[in-house]
Order: sequence, then C-alpha cells, then structure tokens
Amino acid sequence: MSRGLVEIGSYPTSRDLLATACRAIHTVKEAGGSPLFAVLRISLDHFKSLNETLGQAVAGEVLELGGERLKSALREHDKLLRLPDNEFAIVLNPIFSAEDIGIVADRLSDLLQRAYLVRGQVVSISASIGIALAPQSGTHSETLLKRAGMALSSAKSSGTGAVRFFESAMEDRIVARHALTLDLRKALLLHQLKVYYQPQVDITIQRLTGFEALLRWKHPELGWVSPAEFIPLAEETGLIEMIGDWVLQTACQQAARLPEGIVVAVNASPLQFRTGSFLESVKNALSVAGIPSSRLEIEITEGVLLQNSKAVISTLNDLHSMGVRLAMDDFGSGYSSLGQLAKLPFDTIKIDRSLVGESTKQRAIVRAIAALGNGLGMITLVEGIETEEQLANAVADGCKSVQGYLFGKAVPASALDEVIARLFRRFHGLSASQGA
Amino acid sequence: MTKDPYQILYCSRNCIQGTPVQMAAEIGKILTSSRINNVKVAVTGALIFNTVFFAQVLEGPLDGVERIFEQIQRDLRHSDLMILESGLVVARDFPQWSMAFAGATSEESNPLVAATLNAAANHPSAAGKQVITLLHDLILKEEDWALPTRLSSSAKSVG
Repeated sequence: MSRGLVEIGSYPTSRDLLATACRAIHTVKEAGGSPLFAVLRISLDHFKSLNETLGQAVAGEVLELGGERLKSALREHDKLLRLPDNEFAIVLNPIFSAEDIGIVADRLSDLLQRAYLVRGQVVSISASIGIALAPQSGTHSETLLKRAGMALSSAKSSGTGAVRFFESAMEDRIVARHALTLDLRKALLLHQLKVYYQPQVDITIQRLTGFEALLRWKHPELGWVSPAEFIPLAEETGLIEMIGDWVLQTACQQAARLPEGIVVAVNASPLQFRTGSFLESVKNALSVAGIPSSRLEIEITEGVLLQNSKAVISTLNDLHSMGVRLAMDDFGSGYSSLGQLAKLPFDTIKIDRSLVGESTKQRAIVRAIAALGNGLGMITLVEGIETEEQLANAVADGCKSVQGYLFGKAVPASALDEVIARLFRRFHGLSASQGA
Repeated sequence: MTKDPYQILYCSRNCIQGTPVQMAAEIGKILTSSRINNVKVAVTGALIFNTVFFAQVLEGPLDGVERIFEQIQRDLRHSDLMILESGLVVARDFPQWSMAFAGATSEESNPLVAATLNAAANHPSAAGKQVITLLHDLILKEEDWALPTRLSSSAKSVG
C-alpha cells in the first residue's frame, strides 16, 4: 500500500477533517470571531522499559518513527515539537471543535500504537495523549502546555493508550496535592502528626498483647487527614523516611512506658527499605528508648517484598536475628504469596479485614490462613473485628489474636492506661465468669 | 554474495468505505503505488484482499522491508494490523512480483480467501503458513489468467 493520508473517496482522514476545520476557522476569523487551537502532549507508554529491554538504539528509532508518523498526519500549519523525557507536543492550529480534536487524537494514538519494524524486530507500544484547548483551557502557550501535561498525566494514570482533555478539576487536584505536600513538610515540626495506638489481644489466653502504632495527622484547617491521602504524598516526596523514623522513635518510647510484655507494632513503608538505612533507624529507636528488641514488631505489606527483594530480605533477616518481631500485614488482600511466608521469618500474619465476614468463602480462607499460620509457627491475627459474632467466628476459625473496634479503636498515648484497665476488667470478668 | 531476505506477513482490517467500484479503484491505487515504491528498494511480495481484510507479504533486504512496512503503517486505509510471521527466510516466496495481487472485491469474493483471512485474524500465531500457501495458489492461478493487469483495467473500466 502507498504512503498514507492520500485523499480517498469517503474515507475521513485526519487531514480531511483538519482541512474542513481550517476552512471553518477562516470563516470564523473573517467574521471577526476568535479562533480555536489545541495543544496536545503525547508520550509513548512504558518507553523506559522499552529502552531497557530492547536497548537505546532500537527504542530511539521507535521514537523517531513515532515522530515521523505524527508528522505525516499533520497539516501545514500544525507544529510538532519534541519535549524532554521522550514526549511530543503538537499545536493544532486552527481546529473546529473539541469533538474533531478528539477524533484526531484517537487517530494519532492509533498511528503510534501500530507495530514498528526496527532492525528486524517487531516492536509494540502504545501512546497516551493529553489535550488542552484554547481558549477554554487558556490562551498562553505555557499555560496550555502545562495543562496538556496535566491531562497527559491523567491519561497515563488511567492506563495505557488513553486520550484525555484537560479539566479544571485536574488542576484543582494537583494544586491541592501540592499545598498538602507543603503542609506535610511542616506537620512534623509543628507537632501536627500524632501516633495513635490500637490494642491487639490474644483471644486464646484472653490477654492484651500489643498495640499497633498508627499515624494520624490533624491539619489546622482541614482537620483529620486520612493516612490513605498523606502517606502516598510522604512516599512521593521522600518525607516518609523522616516521618517513619519519627514514628519508630515515638512508638518505642511509648513501649518503654507500657507494662512489660506488651509489644508495639509499627508499619514500615516499602520506601523506607529502599535507602538501606532502615536497620539503623530501628536499632537507634530501640537503644534511645532502652527497650528490648522483642518489644517491637515491624509490620510490612507484600509491597515491600515485591521491590528489590534481595536487600529487603536481608534487612528482614537482620531484624529477625536482632529479636525484632515481624508481621505480614494485610494478608489475603493482595498476592498473598505462601512462598514468601515460608521463606521469611514472620512472627505474625495479619489477616486482612476484607476477609472478616459471614460468607462461607471468607471463613474458609480465614480457616486456611489460620491453619497455615499454626503450621508455620506464626501467630494469626484478624483485623477489623467489630462485633462479638465476628470474634466468635475468628475463635472458631482458629485465629489466635484479633484487633478491631470490639477491643478498642486507635487512641492517643494519653488514653492508653484507660484502655489497658478496661481490657483487664473485660478479660478478668470473662475469666471469672468462665471459671464459675 | 547476497544476504538472506527478510520476510514479513501481516493481515489487517480494511477501512476503505464505499461501493465495490470505489473499493476496486482504491485497491488499484494501492497496487500501483506499492509496485513503484517496492521496486525502488528491491522489495517483492503479494497482497490479498477480500473487502474485510488485507493480508500482505513483503520480502527483500531488511532496510527496504522496514521502509515499506513503515509506510504501510502510516496508511489509514487499514487498521488493526497483526503480524503473522516475520524474520529471515531462505528464499523469497514471490521473487518475480513487485506486488502480486490475489483476491477480489465483493462481486468476485472467494470463500477460501474469506475463510483463510478470518482464520488469520482470529488465530494470528497459527495462520502464517496457511496464508502464504493460499497467496501462492491464488497468485499462480491469477498468473494463469494474466490477472494483475486485468484487475487494474477492470477497476478502471467499471469506474
């Protein structure tokens, strides 16, 4: 077949479309109206991994060909630009309507995702596109370029091969995130971050065994900000390391004030394992607080094991041989690799709250995890226990420990004495009545 | 000394709309320009078409095949291209054709062509050999009928 975009019968090429738009725009201009134009930002999805797997030479050629494909679809007055980070920008000028530009963008996306034949290799890749329209989304090229970039980020975060128009909500979100990040930097210094503690109890011996340390942020204007919102920000900005160290220290110092035998469990983010200084942070926190390492439990999620696992595994083994307890958090919610459980020296498996329920399936899974934990010599702890019925199920299913509103929600350090006293009364009362 | 030729076989979905006459005219244009372009870079091959799908073999020096393939990928008259086979081959399958043509517009549609192209579209990994064999058979037949010229002239005469 010949070179594309030749005018053909009834087939609507993007050039046809743009030519029509062009004529219409000229009409508008002549009538004294303001013309529309659009800025598109385009990037090939997962280009970095293409670079790594096929090499720079092949990836570079794919990028070149992608640019040529884009150029081949543009009209005389459109401009194609190369931006840093393997991105393209296109200024379509003029255009007719947002619908037309959507059709053009889909076509450009189609062209880019068609297979490339480079040095005898067939390469497949897709492209994401963000679009800002003038004058709706701005009139200055810098604003338009920035907003097309926001639309591109939104397209990329929704998967591969997506096309997105800029919406003011995207900018609002980005501005709000940025402001929150700035506030988070200050939060630690301004004592807005607090560690709360939620009791963990052993239901087989009816005893309070530990507290999970949970980070809370009381923002001066926004009130309580959910950890689900600010932890990812802390991870993105690298603040997680400083915050993580502070939580470790605070929790260990709190453990020193609690009755002996009560363990404090602290969550560790995958990012904290990345720098290789986590082990030092733990040692430091333990020695400053002056508590034995067995009073500290580190909770990790499977996300920690997925990345850079050699270094992570050696850190976990070091922690274990120091006597620090290890817990696998949220088990049953993700990959739930049994191999990982067997390979690593976990003391506790925390069964995800999503498995707490009435359904026979959920309970069968809980029973299986409990049996597995018993077999591996690990404590199985169910999270999210809110009712006596759920507690009875957990006991019947063979779990050793539980955590949840039934035994108490997370409270500030100042309320811990009260929690300890309340649980003592509960268990004391229970064992007395059982004894009678 | 000559290097082994590189061969690529793909099928794709037709995007040309219009009456059979308009389609035949468009296929005629495609064949004419591809014959001109292919000769320049020593590429030979064959094209099969059945109003829904295209299947095409390109063969020759790698850089020539890459160049022609890239031109084809920029053509909006087809979409959903699937590569059935690609790599070096011992010999060209269509050495004497700058672009042989087999297949037809709807009025002359061949059930075997339709079945093979459908199979190729649905099972791209298994269909390569089948499509090449089909192309061979059909093109040889058309050669008997001296069809490459007939087709372009018929397109003209109908148009």
